[in-house]
Amino acid sequence: MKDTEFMKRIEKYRHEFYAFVQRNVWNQSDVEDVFSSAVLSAYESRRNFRPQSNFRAWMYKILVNKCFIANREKRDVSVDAGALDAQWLADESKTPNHIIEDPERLVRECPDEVLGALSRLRTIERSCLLLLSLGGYSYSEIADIVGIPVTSVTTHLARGRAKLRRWLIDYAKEYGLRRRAIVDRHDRSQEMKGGSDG
Amino acid sequence: MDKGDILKRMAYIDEQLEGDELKEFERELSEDERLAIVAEKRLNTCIIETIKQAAEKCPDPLWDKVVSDLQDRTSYGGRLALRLLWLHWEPGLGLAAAVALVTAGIFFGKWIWTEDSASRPASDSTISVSPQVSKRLALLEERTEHCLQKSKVLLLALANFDPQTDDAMTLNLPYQRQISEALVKETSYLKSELSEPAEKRLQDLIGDLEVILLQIANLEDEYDLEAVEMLRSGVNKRGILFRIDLSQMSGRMQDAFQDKTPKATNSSQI
Repeated sequence: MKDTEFMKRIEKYRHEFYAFVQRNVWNQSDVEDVFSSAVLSAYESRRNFRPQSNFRAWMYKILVNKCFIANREKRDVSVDAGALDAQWLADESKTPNHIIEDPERLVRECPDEVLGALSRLRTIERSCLLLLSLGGYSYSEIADIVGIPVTSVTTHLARGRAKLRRWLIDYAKEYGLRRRAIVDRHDRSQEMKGGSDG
Repeated sequence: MDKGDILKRMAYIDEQLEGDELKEFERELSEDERLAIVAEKRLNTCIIETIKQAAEKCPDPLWDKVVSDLQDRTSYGGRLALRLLWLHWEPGLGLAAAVALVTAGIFFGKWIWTEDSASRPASDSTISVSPQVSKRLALLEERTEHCLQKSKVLLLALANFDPQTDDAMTLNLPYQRQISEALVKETSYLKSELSEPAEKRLQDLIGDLEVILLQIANLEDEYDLEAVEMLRSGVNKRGILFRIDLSQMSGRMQDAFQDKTPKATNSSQI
């Protein structure tokens, strides 16, 4: 790939790549270094980029690797669906509507807590979630970018989501958001009862 | 609900099911399950939206700096500097430059060392430390030297590997990864122990070394030549091998200097 072509492409996606690094690196003082270093690494290995392949995905591979290194974490490629505890997942995957009546409201009231919970995930779980949400990639594309089997992607996503949900529910309990939802529901049922009485 | 059902349900929420699989899944859903999935999807959508909304743009000053760094590398001056650094220039000239650099380094180091030792007060060389501390320091020094030596051998194999001509099998990456993992543990320990201001240079070296070792430990594919190339470039860019050599040389000079100084009888001296 020519220099000008590289610059054009990296410029096009720079905000997206920066956002990925910003959400994926634990130590926020490392974000700029990781981002710059990833761009420079990509530039140095631009000759290895195959013209027929996807530049954005290729760049994400480099970004993911840099984030693992910045977070001083090893990429666990051995985890697959078999390593998932079925009972745990079944418990964690229970629908939240019996606990949180209004998820939009919960998330709206504590966006910082959502991001805080995201930062507490393991790098591999967060990478998969970010590639899905920010990158809009499919499971198989994520598997290719992160360098793990598709079954591992689903496992990491399931674990990551379950943890996020659990932390958010805990937060809701702690700060009365759950109670408020239940109280609201109670109020509504009372109103309905009153309405039918009247 | 078994694992397969849970994962399929998740794939449905993420809109990853297609065609017949999707139709079959939807057909088998009961009304309760459908409601549950809708609730879960709502929560997931909210989380994803929050992440998307919080995504910050790349700051312009940072982008300007990255562009400037890239331009430096593409300019003639930048290319020349890089070639000199990476010894990608004419092999003979590159080698001569490296030899000249090492010689200058030794000469300069020797000069500083002599100056430093000549001006050092006599009492400095007779600060006594307890045998336990001395033993600990000796052990730390030994572990540092061992770690550096092992890393050097590992990195040399990588630095000498030529993807154009050598077979990836010759690198034996699974073995390299195993060694790197062990060395990462060692570097973490050394980083915590080397806390003296005088050991700053060694700390930096160990820190950079740790990053490279982590990269090797994280290599997932033994034929990933692109990653190997990036690693080689990282080793060269940070001058890791050169710095290990300097550190080892400085250690040997220190030993030689200590051998010449009179030794204490009761306690060790530094």
